[in-house]
Amino acid sequence: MPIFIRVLLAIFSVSFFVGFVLLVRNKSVKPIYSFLWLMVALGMLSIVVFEKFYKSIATLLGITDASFMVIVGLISFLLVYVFYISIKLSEMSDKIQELISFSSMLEHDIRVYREKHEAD
Amino acid sequence: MLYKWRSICREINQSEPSMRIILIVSNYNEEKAIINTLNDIRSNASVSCDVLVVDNCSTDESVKLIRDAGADYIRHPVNTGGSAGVIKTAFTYAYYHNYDIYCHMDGDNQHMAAELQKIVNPLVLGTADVVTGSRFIAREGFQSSRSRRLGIYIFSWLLSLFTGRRYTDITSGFRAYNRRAIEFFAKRFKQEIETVTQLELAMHYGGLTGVEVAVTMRPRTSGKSEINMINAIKFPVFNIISLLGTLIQMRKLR
Repeated sequence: MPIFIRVLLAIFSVSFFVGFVLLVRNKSVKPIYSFLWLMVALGMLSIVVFEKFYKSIATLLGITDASFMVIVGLISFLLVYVFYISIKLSEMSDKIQELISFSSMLEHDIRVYREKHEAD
Repeated sequence: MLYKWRSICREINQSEPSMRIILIVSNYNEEKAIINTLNDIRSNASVSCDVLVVDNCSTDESVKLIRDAGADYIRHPVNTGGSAGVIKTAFTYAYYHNYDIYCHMDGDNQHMAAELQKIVNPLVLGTADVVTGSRFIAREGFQSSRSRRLGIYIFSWLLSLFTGRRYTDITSGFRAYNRRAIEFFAKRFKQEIETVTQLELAMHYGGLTGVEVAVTMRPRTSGKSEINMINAIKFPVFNIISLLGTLIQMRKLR
């Protein structure tokens, strides 16, 4: 891997890692959802440090270049992550709908109770 | 207020006086039509029922008008996007308040309260679990735009193909459900509801009996229809996805 790409990857992964740590600190992202991204940042950094190890894995898998390995790895990760997010999103939308229905019904019951109470 | 409305509606379903019926009117930004709808229900409702408006977080004055008219209402704290959210709340409400029949009407004053008895009767007689008011049986009154009719025809044909039953107006919002159907949709198939179209398919696989009865619809005199340029593309796509989803889930429904 050319030195330029290695430096770029190192800068990118470190900023990615720091960025996510800051997001967690500011409570913009929940730790549970940032964990995977922090692992990705560390994974990218490990490519810079342990290039030879990744090269040997790439050769084993029949991938000609270590940089292709990075791309394949990232795409696979993103696919799995999007799949996970889709499941979470479906669960969340069900829960939100349930909350909307029940909170509006509760608000209605309180209003009816108050009106009845005031009338009495 | 709920009790006031109950007394206003006429006592016509005397054959089953113990039956508790609720008429749920969906509303989203219908400030120009909702009062006419409520007045129509107040003067012409052909069944004795409780009336409840479910508002999908309107941004206009409609909720204030509903309140001033003395009608009972539920207001979603946020808009759920489309009518599916309102239907889900309606099923939940009807289920938890132990209603025997839930009738649905849109707040755009296109449905006629005088025809409520037509959609309730098959449920009272026990000949169906779900009744849909179709404007395409007698072909009287407002028949919708040509492009929308074509869409309805295609989806009705598709549904007929899957269920072996003839459908004519699958997008109709004028419907009635008995307790069995209320329970089915509130407990077994609530979160899966994305479009009105898929209700028929879910109903079929859930073992519920549905019938269509001829009703007349008025043309929309005010407000905006959900169907615009974007929705004209979005709706068919959504309908296809929701129908496919229901087909995938059919084993779970049986």
